Formats: sequence, structure tokens, C-alpha cells
Amino acid sequence: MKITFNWLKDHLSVSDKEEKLLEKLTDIGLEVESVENLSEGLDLFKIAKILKTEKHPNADRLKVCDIDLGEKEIKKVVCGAPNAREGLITVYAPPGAVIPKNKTKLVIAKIRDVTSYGMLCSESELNLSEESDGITELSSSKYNKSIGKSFFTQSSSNLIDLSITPNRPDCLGVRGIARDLAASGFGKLKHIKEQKIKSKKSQTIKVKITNEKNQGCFSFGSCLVTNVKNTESPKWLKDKLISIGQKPISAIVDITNYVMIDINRPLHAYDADKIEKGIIVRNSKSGEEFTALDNKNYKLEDDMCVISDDKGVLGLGGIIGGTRSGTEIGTQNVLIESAYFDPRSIRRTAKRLNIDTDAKFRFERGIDQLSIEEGLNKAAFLIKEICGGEISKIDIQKISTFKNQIIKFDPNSFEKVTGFKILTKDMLKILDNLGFTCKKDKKSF
Amino acid sequence: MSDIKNIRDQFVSKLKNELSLDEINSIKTELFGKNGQISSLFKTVGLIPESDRKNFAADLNKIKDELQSLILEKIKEIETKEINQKLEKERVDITLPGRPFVRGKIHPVSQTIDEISSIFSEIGFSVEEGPDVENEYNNFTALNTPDNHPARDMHDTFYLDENKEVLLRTHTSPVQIRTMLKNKPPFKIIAPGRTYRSDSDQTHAPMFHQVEGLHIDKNINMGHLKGCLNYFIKEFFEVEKIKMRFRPSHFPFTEPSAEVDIGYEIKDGKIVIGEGDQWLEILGCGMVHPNVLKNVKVDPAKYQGYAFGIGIDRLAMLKYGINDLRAFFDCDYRWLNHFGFDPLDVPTNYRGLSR
Repeated sequence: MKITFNWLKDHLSVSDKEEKLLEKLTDIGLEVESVENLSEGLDLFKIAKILKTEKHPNADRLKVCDIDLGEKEIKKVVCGAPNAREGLITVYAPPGAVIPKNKTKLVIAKIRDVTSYGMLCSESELNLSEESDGITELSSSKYNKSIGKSFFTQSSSNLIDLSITPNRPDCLGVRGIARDLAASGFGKLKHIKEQKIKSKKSQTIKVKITNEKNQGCFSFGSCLVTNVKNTESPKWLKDKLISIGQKPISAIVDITNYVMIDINRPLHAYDADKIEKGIIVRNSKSGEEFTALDNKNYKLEDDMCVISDDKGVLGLGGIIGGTRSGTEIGTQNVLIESAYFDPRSIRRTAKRLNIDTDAKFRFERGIDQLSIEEGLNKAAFLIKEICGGEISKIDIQKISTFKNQIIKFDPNSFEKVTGFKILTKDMLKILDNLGFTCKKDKKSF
Repeated sequence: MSDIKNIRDQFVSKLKNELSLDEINSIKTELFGKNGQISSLFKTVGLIPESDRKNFAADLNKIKDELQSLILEKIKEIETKEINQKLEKERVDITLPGRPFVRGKIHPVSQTIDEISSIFSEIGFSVEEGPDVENEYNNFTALNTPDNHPARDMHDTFYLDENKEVLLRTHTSPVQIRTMLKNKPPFKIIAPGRTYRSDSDQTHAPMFHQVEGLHIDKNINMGHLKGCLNYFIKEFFEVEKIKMRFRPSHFPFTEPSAEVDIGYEIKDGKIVIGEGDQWLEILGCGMVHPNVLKNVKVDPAKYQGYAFGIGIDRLAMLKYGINDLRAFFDCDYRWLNHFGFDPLDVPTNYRGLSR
């Protein structure tokens, strides 16, 4: 599980230093495997304006650009991008900078007899998107005043890689880790008011979970967001994902990933227009096939939990979606899925097909069954905020009802097992901070 | 007279051949035995007319002597030949120096196992053993690791059959199960041995060594575990003080579980154990899970206790400054000679563990 201190601070009020955090994490059993400074050197990347472009004397496709960095000196850079033009505001990397995509270090180099001081970067080179046809184009109205400043703002947050033991699925989200830290006395958990969907529009795509033996899906929540405009994610969201080493794809996909990492609630987004009639969650039949989002074709066996429509399999529930119903930049209507899948079923299917995904990793360890609505709320509002559109009511189908588990805990057993004493009062406080509701049983106290 | 001459000629030519000792002896019998040809002729001397007798006897004696000396000569010749052959074959050069006497060395892993056993037996643990080829039940199920449990992911197991029922044990913990099923509590044992996982790089070998510890009694708690491990580590590294920490972790067979780190620092390119601000993980431990006790018919309401598993190879590397785990299993004679131990120096607590 990869996190940053900055992201933790979304959920935790804390004034301690990162060093303290690392110590505390290991102390409470969330072992710090490694700390990596992903953004080291990223402050070298500057916002720059192209003052002038000239054709390279010895090459047809290259241009020699004069770059303004808000300093007296004008930098000369050789650039091959077709969109390099006068007045364009873009991202400049000086000699010494390391390109995030291929990790090469820039040096002052002669390109066909013209010396180039640094480089103008494409979005793909900066790991911002797949765009590699030309250099980054920044809007002049927004960035005109920032010329010479660092392009990346989040420059001091280290990537912390935690090794989470299989008994702690609750810590596969940033909020869960924050909760654990707060309970151990590191900072205070922020109360975040959940924004709830209060729509009158009904979710018009019919969802059915077949009630059959070995059904791997217990409940399936969904919400339809119509008339959206799927775009690139805003900078804050891109920065967030980049900060933990993920690649931004598009707003809708990024939002589902963000919600998964933030509150440990895996979601899946479908292009609603590509769903034929309705959704049926059922067991697969041997011989069924589908192409998954990893571009591989999978042949299914009997009794794997699939999300399907009238035409066939759309995806493997809780493991991976299919290309047929995936969202794209042109997607207009999005169906968000927030479901609960049985860990055993997930594990069996993923092992047979040899698939490993972030969602599978979480579902096989166990997801909070009560987070279905929270995930839908969070994702739907983010989509509306970024892509516009209208949110429908939440629809939840289920074949079994989840009941809160009651754990009997005898405070005396603590001393018996560990050999030291904690006051019952203190135990209750810790349990409360961890989110447990405690009820005293007179006999044991 | 012609008779005698015939015999003589016949045997002289016979004796000219290459003969073995046995063949000569049989010729001797043929001539001089009780009914031998010469002996028989002597018996006829009395029957010969007086006039011829003298000549006959003289001739006979002459031929007898001739043949006898011929036989003796032949025997001597053969004997000399045999002796010469024997001498040639069994020649010994007594001037050669004696063969060098080489004493083998004890492998660092064996030495470490001996040291560990010595330390724990001093504080009341007995040594148990179990087989390398285990069944799935003892290795996983009895240890509270059900099918499909993600903890099985942590072990890349070598299965020996298609049904995944027989395997090479992935840890020494199944010895706990065997011991507890065999006897009645209390238990206080260690179980060193070989373990297997399909993992191979500079710090992981597909075959490695672990020592399992188990102490079950009516009131054994984590405090006892900490004391025991602290004592062990101090004794093992032969230091007065040790910096160690218990870090919460997870194993299906213990609850609560912890991993133990010890402090170290690098001084002049050498690792110093017991101080410094770096941490090194050396073992996993915890309080035996009630489900495990139930599986071996021990009442968890009455009995409780701890278990631990230590990587022996890692400890040996740390103590004896060995950098690459793979060297343990390379069988390089020079390496073994350098890192090996004198077989007569059995590690004991009072005499010092290592020299």
C-alpha cells in the first residue's frame, strides 16, 4: 500500500514530522517497507514561454526555440515537437533534470551542431498523460504570471510503501491508516461530512443478482451519472495519483481509483450506453470469453462471478472490467458500480486466471460491506464536479443482508495474554478511536 | 634298459615345458610315488638275472638322480619366478612420506544449530524433530491457515503431488503440531530443521533452515516470550546488552503476532549487533492461536503460550560475517575451510559458544 504524508493529512490533523510518522507506522504494525522521494528534482521543471522559434539549420523537423524563464538570460533549446510555436507556454526541463518517464538525466548536448540547453517536455514524458505527439500546452491565461516558477507544486512528499499484513484489509485505504494512527495517539482523525445523494431521478439500468449456488456477489450498489463530459483530471487529482506512483488516465477512471485508495472502496465505472439492456450478476459458464481492460482475452470456467448484460460477459466482478463497457473520453453516461464480492470467490477466480489487480487485492482480503453507499456518494459527486452531469438515486441489489458482527472481549484476557495491564477505561478509548461501538456486559466488568 | 631310457627321455622332455608347481608335483608322484614308474622299477631289481642286475641298478639310480635333480631345479626355478613376480607386484617405497591427516570442518549452519540448541536446552527446552516432507494439514490447516487464505500467498510452496496434499514443509511449525498431538501439555520444545519455499535470490534460498520454539503451559504470556528471546539473542551474539523491538505483525497461527527486530550499525564496514539506529528483522513470534490449540486437542481455556520461528541462516550470516546466503549451499571447499568449525569444539554455554 503506497501513501504519502500529504494524502494522510486529508484525514489526519497532525503537526508531527514525517520521521515520527514512519516510526509510528512501523510501531502499530503497518511496516514501512521503503521511502522513496518520487518528486526529488521535480522542482527543476519550470513553466516557460517560447519567445521565438527558428528552423534548425541542419534538420528539417527540428526547431531552435528561445525560451523565457522570467530571467534575463534566454535559453536556447532544440525541440522536435510540431506544436512548438511562438507564445506557447510549456514545461521546461534544464540540464541535470531527470525525466520522470524514462528516468534519463538531461545534459547539455549538441544536436546536429546546435547546442541545446535542456528540453521542452511532453505530457507523456512528465507522466501526466499518454500524450506524446507534442510538448505540453499550458493555458496562457492561467500560467502567464507563473513563468519561471516550478511546474510541480507537490514537491516535498515522499512515497511511503507500507507492507500491510493480510489481517488488516481496513488499512488498504488512506483513511483506514489515518484512523489507526489517530487511535495510537498520532494526530486526530478529521471528521469528514459525507455528502449524500438526494436525487429524485431513478437509476434506470436494471441490475439483478441471480440467486444461485456459489454466487460470489452479495450486494451490488450502483448509481447513474448522465450527460457527463469525461475529460482529463484536474491538476489536484492528477497530482494525487502521481504522488503515489499511479498514472492518471481520464477523470472518471482517476476518480474511481482515487476513491479506492482514499477510503478503500473499489468501484468500477461502466459506459452506460454500452450496456445491453440491464446488468446481470451471475456465475459464468465454462467456455465464456471476454477481453479485459488489460487487453487480454480470458476464457472462463464454471462458477466465476461475472457482471454481464444481454450480450454476454462485461467483466469479472471485483477483479477486472472488460473493454466492451469501459469508459472513454467520449463517454456520456456513466454507471458506477460499488459492490461486495466474497473473498473466497475472488481468490479462486483470480488464481485460476492468474490476474492480479488492486481491486482483487482488496476484495480477497475483505472490503467493508457498509462502504457501498459511501463510495457511490463520493464518486458521483466528484464526477459531477469534474465532468458535470446529473446524478441518479442509488440502487442497491442484494441477496443477503449484512449484519454488524459482535465480538465478545473480556478485558481481563488482555493481561492474561500480554502480561501487562491497561486500564479498561483506556482500552475503551482505543476501541472507540478505532471505530468500535462498545457495550459493557455487566458480568465481565 | 630301453624301458628306463624311454621313461627318462619322456620325462626329460616333459620337464622342459612351462609347468606350474602342481604339475611338477604330479610328475614327481608319477615317477617316485608309491606306484611311480621309477619306484616300480626299483621293485623289479630283485627279479633281474644276477648278471644284468648290477648294470640295471646303476642305470636306474643314475636316471633317478637325474630326474630328481631336474625336478628340484624346476621347482626352484618356479619358486624364484613367483617370488620375483610377487616382489615386483608388492613393491613398497618405504622412503615415501606418510599420508597427510585432514580433519573435516563443521558447516556454519550446523554450528549455529548446535549453538542455538545449547542455549535453549540450558533454559529447559528439549529438541524435537519432524520430517521435511509434510502433509498439507500439518503445514497449513492445523496451523489455522484455511484454504484460500491470503496468508498462503506468502509461502510459495513446493507441492509433491497434484492434489496438493504432500509438500516440502514451508516452515518448522508443523513440528509444533506433531509434538502436541503426541504428548500432553506442558510443552517446551525447540525444533531446528530444513524448510523449503520456491524463492531464490541473494537473500532467499529455496532450501533454508529454521528453528521453531514452543512453550505452552497454564500461564505463559508475552512477557515470558520477550524474556526468553531477549536472553537467547544476548547469549547467541555473546553480547551484554541488546537493543530489540517487538513490531506487531500477522501470522495465522499466532494472535497477537510480532516480528522481532534487533538494532545494528555498520562500523568500519563491519556490522555491529545490539546497538545503533538501524533495525534488522530476525524472527517472527506470537501467542499460539486458540484455534491451533483446539486442533491438537489442547484446551485453550486452560493452556496458553508462545511460539517463535527463527531463520537460522540469517543468524549464522550475521554472527559470522557471511554476506551471501548462497555460499552456504555452494559446497566450495575453500569457503567451508575458512568458515567451518573444529568438530571437537562442541558449543556449550559455560565454555563459550564459538571460538
